[in-house]
Amino acid sequence: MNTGLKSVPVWMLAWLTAFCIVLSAFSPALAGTTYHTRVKVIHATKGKAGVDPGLEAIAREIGSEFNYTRFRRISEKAMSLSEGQKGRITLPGNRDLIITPTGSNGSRIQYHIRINAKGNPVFQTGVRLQNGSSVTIGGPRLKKGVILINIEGRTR
Amino acid sequence: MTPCNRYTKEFISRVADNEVRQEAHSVFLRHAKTCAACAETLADFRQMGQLFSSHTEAEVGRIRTELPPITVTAPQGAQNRKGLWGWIGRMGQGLASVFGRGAMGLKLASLSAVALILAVSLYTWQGDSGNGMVPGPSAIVNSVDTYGSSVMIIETPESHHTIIWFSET
Repeated sequence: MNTGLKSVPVWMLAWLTAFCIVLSAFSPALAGTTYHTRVKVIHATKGKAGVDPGLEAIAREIGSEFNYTRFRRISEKAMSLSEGQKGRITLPGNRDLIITPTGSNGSRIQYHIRINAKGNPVFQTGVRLQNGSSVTIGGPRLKKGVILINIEGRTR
Repeated sequence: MTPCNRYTKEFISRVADNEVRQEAHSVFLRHAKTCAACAETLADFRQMGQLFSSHTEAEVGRIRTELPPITVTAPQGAQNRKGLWGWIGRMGQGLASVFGRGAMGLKLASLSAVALILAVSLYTWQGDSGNGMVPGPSAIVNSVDTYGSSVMIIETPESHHTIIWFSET
C-alpha cells in the first residue's frame, strides 16, 4: 500500500525535524516562561551590628530607611515556577508566604504575594517586579525585631 | 557675396533646428529668398545637422550589432575562493543542492528564511526580557490588602529598591 508519507522524500522529513528542533531550542517563549524566583527570609533587629554574608545590599537598603543594624538569614529558597504555579515558603511565627507569578511583559514580572498567619491571610499584594531585581516586604514581628522577606525574580 | 547683418548665425542655426516661432521662421525664409548670404548659412546648418544625425544613427547601429550582449556570470573558480565570499558562495551552492533548483526548492528556501527570522525574533525578544533594566522602582505595587493593618511603600533614593512595610495588628 502506498501511503502519503512514503511519497515524501526522506531529506524533506529530516529538514522538517531539524526545523522543529531549532525552533524549540531558540524559542523558549513558545515553550512557556520559567520564573526563577529566590526568596530570602531575614531577621532584622536593632542589636549589635552584624550582617550575614550575601545580605549586605538588603542591609544597606533597609538600614538607610529604618534603624535596624543586625541582619541574620533565617532561610533562603530558590524556585523555578511556571505562570500561575504557587511557591510556598514557611516563615517563623506560624506564618507562611505564597508567591505566584501571574505574567510578564518582558521587562517586568507580575507576582501575587500572600502572607498567612495561623492559616489566615494577613497581607497580600500584587507587584510588577523589574526582571532581575528584587522587592523587600517587611513588618511581621519576630522576637525583638522584624521579619524581612526579599523576593528576587527573573525570567532567564 | 555680401554678408548680411540682419540675422545672426545663432538665429539661423535655431531656424535650421526649427526652434524659433512660426512667425519669425516665415519672415526669415522670405528674407532668405532675396539674401544669398542668409540662404547659404541656412543651407550649411541644415547640411551639418543631417550629417550629424546620419553619423549618430550609424554609430548606434554599429554598437547594437557588433558588441556582445551584457551578461553577468560568476567568476571562474569562485567555489575555490577563500574567505567570507568563498564561504558564502559554497553555502549558496550547498543550499541549492539541499533545496533543489526548482520551484519546490525555492519554496523550501523561503520557508527556511521565515523560520530563521521567526526563531531569531523570538530569541531576541526573550533575551531583551532577561537583561534589560528599565528605569523606575524595582517593583511597582499594583494592589495591597493588609486586612486592617497599616502599610507603607518606600522607594530607596539611591538604588530605587521598593520596600513594602506593613504592621500586623
